Order: sequence, then C-alpha cells, then structure tokens
Amino acid sequence: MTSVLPRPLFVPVAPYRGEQLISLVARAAKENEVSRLAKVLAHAGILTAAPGFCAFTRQDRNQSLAALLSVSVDEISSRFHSRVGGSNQYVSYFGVVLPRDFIEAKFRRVSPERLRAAPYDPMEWAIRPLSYCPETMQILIFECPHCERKLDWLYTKGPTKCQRCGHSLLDVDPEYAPAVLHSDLRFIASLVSFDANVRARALAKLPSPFSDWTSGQVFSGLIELCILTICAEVKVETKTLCSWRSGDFSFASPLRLVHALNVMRYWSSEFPRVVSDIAKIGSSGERKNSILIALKPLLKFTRSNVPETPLGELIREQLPSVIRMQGIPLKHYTKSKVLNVPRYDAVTTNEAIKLFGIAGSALSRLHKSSKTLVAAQGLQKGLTLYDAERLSYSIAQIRKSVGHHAVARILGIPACFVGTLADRGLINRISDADALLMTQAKESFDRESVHALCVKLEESRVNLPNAGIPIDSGLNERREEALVWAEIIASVIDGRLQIRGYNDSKRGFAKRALVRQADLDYIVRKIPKTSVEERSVSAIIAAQVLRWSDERVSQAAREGLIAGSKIGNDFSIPLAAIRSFRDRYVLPNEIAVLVGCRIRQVSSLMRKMRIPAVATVFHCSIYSRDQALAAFKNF
Amino acid sequence: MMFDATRAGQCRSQLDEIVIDTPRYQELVTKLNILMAHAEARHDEPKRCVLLVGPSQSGKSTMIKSFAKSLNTADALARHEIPVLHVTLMANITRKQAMKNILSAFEKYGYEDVSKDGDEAELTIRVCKYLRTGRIKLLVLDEFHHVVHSESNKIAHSVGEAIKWLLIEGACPILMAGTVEAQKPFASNKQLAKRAEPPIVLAPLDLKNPNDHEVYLKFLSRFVIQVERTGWAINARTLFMPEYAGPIHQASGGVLGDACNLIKAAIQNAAGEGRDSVGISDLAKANDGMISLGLCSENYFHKMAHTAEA
Repeated sequence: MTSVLPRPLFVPVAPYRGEQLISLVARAAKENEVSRLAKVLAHAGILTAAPGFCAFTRQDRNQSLAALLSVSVDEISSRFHSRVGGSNQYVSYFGVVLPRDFIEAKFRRVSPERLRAAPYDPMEWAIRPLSYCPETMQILIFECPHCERKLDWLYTKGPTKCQRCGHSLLDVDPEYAPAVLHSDLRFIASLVSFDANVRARALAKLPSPFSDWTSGQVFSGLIELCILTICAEVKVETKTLCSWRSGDFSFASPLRLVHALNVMRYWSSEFPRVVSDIAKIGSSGERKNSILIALKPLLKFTRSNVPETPLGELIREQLPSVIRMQGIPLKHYTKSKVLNVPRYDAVTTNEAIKLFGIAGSALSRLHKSSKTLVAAQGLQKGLTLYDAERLSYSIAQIRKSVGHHAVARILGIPACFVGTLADRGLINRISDADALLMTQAKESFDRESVHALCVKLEESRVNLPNAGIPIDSGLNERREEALVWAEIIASVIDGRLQIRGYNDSKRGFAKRALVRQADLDYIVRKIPKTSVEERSVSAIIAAQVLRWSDERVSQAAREGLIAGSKIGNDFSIPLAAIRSFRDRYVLPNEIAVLVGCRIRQVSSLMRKMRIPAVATVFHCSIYSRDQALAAFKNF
Repeated sequence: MMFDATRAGQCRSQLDEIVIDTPRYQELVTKLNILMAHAEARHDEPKRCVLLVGPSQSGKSTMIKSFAKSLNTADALARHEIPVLHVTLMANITRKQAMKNILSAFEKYGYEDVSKDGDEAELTIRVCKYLRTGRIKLLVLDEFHHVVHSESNKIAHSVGEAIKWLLIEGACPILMAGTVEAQKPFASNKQLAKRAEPPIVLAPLDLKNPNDHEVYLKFLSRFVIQVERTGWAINARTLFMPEYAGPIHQASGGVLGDACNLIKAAIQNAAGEGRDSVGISDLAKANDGMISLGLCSENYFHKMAHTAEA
C-alpha cells in the first residue's frame, strides 16, 4: 500500500548546506508559524514526542518530509543518520561514521555570532565532543541566557530565539576558544565536515597510520586520546572514566582536543610518554603494586570483549612493547592477553607447557636463569614470561641430549668415565645452560654424537679371540681410569688400536671388546699419573677421613662446603679440599670430644656460648673452628 | 417517457457554468480594484475592507468566484501567489474558527492544511503570515452573516475584532460577502466601519425602477442567449418575451439568482423528459419547486399553463 505524500507547507524553506535536519524542520515550522516541531513532523507521518531524534529513526519518511518541506528527497535523505554495521552503535552523520553517542539529538547548542550571520543550525553544532563553533570559534551555548532553560527542539520561535521565553539568543556574549588553538581546532572540525573533500584533505595531513583511517575513526580516536591525556596528568576516578566513555564529553575542552591532536601527530614519541605518565599516576597511592590500577585507563584497549577500533588495535599492538621499553614492572599477574601474549614472542608458563609439551617443574627451574625470561627484573610472584624462541631452542637441545648414564649404557663403560670422553672430543656436550637447568643435569651430551661414536666402534669390530680389558689395571684414580677408556676408544676410532674380539655374552662396548694386554699396558703407561696432592677420593673415603657420614659429606660437597665434582652418583673430592674443610670447620663430634660432653648436648652448649652454626647439613650443625676454639679456650 | 436523471443533471451542471457580466459585477470589480490598488500603495500599512450584501442567490458568490478566477491565473499560482483567496465561513463561527477557515482555504490550492495546529493566537499569526507570503491581494470572507449567527454577541464582536486586527496588521484588504445581516458587525463596531468602504448592495431588482428594469432585461437577454448556446433549450429566447419575463421576475422577487434558478429548473425538467425546448409547463413546475422551498408564495405560471392547454 503506497502512502500518500503530504502537500507542501505554504511557506517553503530552502535548506542550507550542512544544515541539520531538525534545524530545517524548525525553520519550516517557524516560517509557517507552527510552534511545535512535532506538529510539522506529524504532517509527514512522523509521530514523535521527541522531534530531535527523527533523523535517527524515521528514514522511511524521507519522501513525505521532502514533499512537506518542498525540498528534494536527496536533501532530506542526506540529513538522516542511518545506522552503520547493523547496530545502533555507529551512525553515518553527513557521511562521517561516528559513534551514536557523539551526536546530540535532544538539545540544541548554538553560536550566537554565527546565528547572527546565518540563522540555521549547522551539523557541527550537534557533534557533542566539539564544544565550539568551527567558524566563529565561540564556545557553544546550550541554555537561554535569559530564562536559563536548556535549548531544545520541542518548540520553536525561530532559530535566533529561545523556544521557551522567546528572548533573543544573539544578545549573549559567550567565550571564545584561545586564539592560539584556532588553526588546530579548525583542523579537528574538518575531520567531521560534511564535505568529503575537506575531510580527505585533513586526513592527508596526519601521519601514518592515522592517515589510512577514516575521518570518523580518527575523530573517535582523538576523543579517546583526550581521556588518556587527562589520565596521564591526574588520577581519574573509575566512575568519572566510565561517565566520560558513556557520553559525557565535558572533558573535551578545546585545549584538551588540541593536546590529543598533538599526541596523534607525534605518536611515536608521545604515546610512550602518555603510557609512562599513566603508570606513574596509577602507581601512586595505596595499591601501588597493582598493574590493573596503574594502567587502568589503557586496559580498556586490552580486553578482548571490547569492540576493536583502529586506535584500540594500535594501542593493543604497541602497549606491550612500550611497557617493556619503559621498564614498567609487571608485578601482578593480569589476565589481559595483550599484556601477556603475544608480546614479541613471549609466552606465559601455561602457554609454554601447552606449546612445547614441557613440564611446569622444568620451567620453574628456569627461574634461576635470566636469559630465557622476558622480564626478570622486578619479578616477585605471579607472572613469568619466557622468550619463546629461546625457550624453543633450549627444549630442542634437551630433546637431543642424553645424560651420563645413558651414554654409559650405550657404550658399556662406567658413567663416571663419560665426561672424559667429552673432554677428548669423542662425544659433544650440550652447552645450553637453560637446558641443563631444566633437566637438573650438570652435563648432557649430544645424542647424535654418541650414536655416531657407537657406530664407529661397531664398525671396527674384528672377530678375534683375545684377553678382555681388565678393570683393575692398577690405576690409583678413577680419573686415570676414565682417561684410559677415553684413550682406548679414541685409538680404536683412529685405527691405532685394534679390537681383537668381542665377548658377545656381555653388554656394551667396554664389556665386550677385547684388546691385547700389550696395547692396554701401552695406553696405561701413557696416561699421566696424578700426584698425591692432586689426588681425589670418593665421598666414602672423605667421610672416613673426616669421621663423618658419607651422606653428609656428599651433601656438603653438593652445597659447596667441600670442593668436589660429581661424577655419576659419586663425588670426587680432592684431598686438599678435605684438609681445607677440616681447617675451617669443626664438627659436633669433635666438639663433644673437646668439651667432654655428649654429641646431643653440643648444639645447646653452642647456643649458650652464643656461637652460631655456619651451616647445617642434614640436621648436623657445622661451626667455625676458630670461633669455637676461641670460645672453648677458657673452658 | 421515463425521466432521464442523468441528462437532467448534466443539463443543470452546464447551465450552472453560465456567468453573466452585469453592471453590478462591474461595480464590484471597480470597488475591489480600488481596494487592491490602495493596499498595494500602502505596503505594510493598515488596509481597508468592503462589504458585499444581498439576499441569498443574488449572485454574490458567483461574482466573487468570477473575479477570483480572473486574477488567480496559472502563472500567479505557479509563482506561489494567490491573488484572491476565497474563504467560506462556516456556521457558528468563532474567532479561532474563522482563522481555521481561512487556513483551510489554502488547501484548495494544493497546500497542506495546517489549520488544526496551534491555538487561536498561533492561528491568527499564521493567517497573517500566509496572507503576506502568498501576496494575497484580496481576502474574501463569504457567508459573513454567519458571524452574526455566532453563539453570542460577544463572540460575534470578537470575530469582528479579529478581522479588524488583520486589517490593521496590513496583511491584505478584505471583502466580506453575505446577507443583509452581515451589516450588523459594522454597525456595532465603529472602528471596523471606519476601515470599510461603502457597502455594495445587491438589492432585488425593482422593475418599476428604470435602471433596475434595464439591468434585469439585459441580464435576462444575455442569460437566455447563453442558455441557447448550450443546446439544452433551443427556444430559450422565448423566455425573454414579456409574457415570460414578467412572471419570472415576480417569481424570483427581483433576485437575479432566483430568476436564473427558476429558468434552469425549467430547462432541467425539459431535459429530463428528453425535450430540447422549454415550455410553460416546465416553468410552472419550477415555480412549484420554489414555492415548496418557501422562496416564492405563488405560482405565476399555472394560469398561463392552463390557458395554453385550453
């Protein structure tokens, strides 16, 4: 059913370029001496109690309105604010896509000076963040200077008069924006001009990436930057922040807009400064350690449920690196994915576990290393970040390494001899410290090199019966033994020593290989012998020397109280180290003998004597010898 | 023979289109031109008005429509002008109603009817605005006697005041047309009377008066010639003969409109019966119709009809 178009009003009005639709309707109403705008709209079939909103809601009536006002349909249609994107959030306002909140529909804001020149309401006056008129630079007024009631679109007594009391709006003398800001303010207003060419020229003057955005996106970003610049100067309550983001544009003063524009113009240097200032402001106060408090104004851009805007994407992309460069400490764990991942290939603990299939305990051992962590400084608890590339390398190293015992099993030699093979270059060590930390191994060896060695040894097999390699070769040191084995293997590989046969009932190269006794003697003679001073003993021997338990000796060696190196499951402790330990420390059993008390009474005695323990090894306290002897001198 | 109602209706419609230029019409046009010239010279200064009175069917509305038609040309209307705005006032008129009637008149010219929007003050201001914007040279308030027939004298007086206000505002000159009662507001409102030209009175024609006699005969002759030209009554001229003209005058009471209606009714009757000539019996029947409407007290054609039959 086609609707009947209304007849035109007797007194027509000509629309001004860039005039708001409601202003056109108001002028038509005034020319036809109809005081209520709703009555005029009713003739066009638009029944509304809020005429100011008709541009948003009644686009289906553009033909009726055009017929009523005696203007072309295009003139009316271009003044409607159609939805963009299927939701109410964005509208097309004279060709500029702006958030719906940016458009003032209910009330009227005017510049008296401009009204005096041309009695109509231009579209810029309805853009709420713009508190000034771009032509006259007057701060817009929204109340009648006489009756102090808000100017609205319910009634009209003419564009230059208050719709309630009828007094002229031209009598008032409002403020002007500061003259130094005029050119920048005009630039800002040109971003939302109804003229597409003006908008394009304005965009071209902005740096990348802003010049690639639409003018509406740039303008929206500008308003958001106003909020951020305020947050960089003063602490803003959450409530205030929410109200600003919900349509209260009282913050958007001309000065603030120009400030935001400068941030946009010099983005690369200004944005880090803004972030730093926000963090400083946010860090002051009671909860200074919370990143959520410190960066709160910025965290809006990091939440995944917030619709993305180009500014949001830009901040989301750059914020993590800025935070790192600024050295802003990440003290508390935040669920923000933006601050965690991806941050220049940083991964959190959970993500590393999922990504690399590695145990959390292995990662936690990495805390001791600062090489793999992205931000180790200031870390106290909660958030741990790892450099993904570095971590990936370490894990790859782990996966291709074997430990002492595995090598020993493969080669059929004692585990304590494996290190010597690596010293001879027969197998390769894994040098990655992070990999060693994660596996808690002092040494790891490259699996491929071990297998290659094994293959070479297998290839040299000669099936000849002869004597086997004796274990008790008369060597005093296990180290010397290891050197012999390494020499044997190296000689076999070099072809200088021939395997005479294999005892197939044994497992491993060393247990199966058979060499001539003469060859073995020759090798043994070649190995330099250890001097007495350089000799090392096992932990058991050391315990016998120190009159201590072997477990405590091993633990002391592990903790570094006694110098020693771990070979397999045992420790090799130099005799000099044992002597040094005995010179520095005194054990409870010795004190008991010295004092003449029981061993269990030593600790309370030492406490009474105010002699602190230097260390505790498996519940056994060790005391400084000098201190103890000095105390007991007079005992 | 069956009465052909369609033919009768068509006949009457064509006859109603006939407009005869009379000295009275010329007098009206002259006075209105004076008013309009005075208004044009005065710009925004107060304008004057004139009253056109006459009994019902004396031709007031016909003359006004003819005058309006002559000025409301297609060119003028295309220029968004309505030189003559003819408004017919409704019964039981109030001030607000008067303004609404004026605004409703604009709808005839293709504009939106905004008479329902606003209170009395707004409507009055709107009327003034429209009269200026439309460059209306003459506002005609027909059926002005309805002002007198308002619910109270106070209301009637206020309507007169509203008209006076329009004149003072200088919107345009006003022609008020109505029956004799339309003179009462002028009699009671001296200020309105002072803004008025001497009224144009369309009194019934008295055949004893030589001037009236001449007017009557001239009118009748021109009318019957026009009727003949329509083809509905090829012997219409016979009605101009004294034996017919006299009874016609008597039956119409000297009111030209009534005389025309009598003739038209007779021709309509003849057309319905399929005849293209009018006879005495048709006139008698038409006279009976007037008697039944209370417009006439006697049938002046019965005797003639009986004589003709005899």
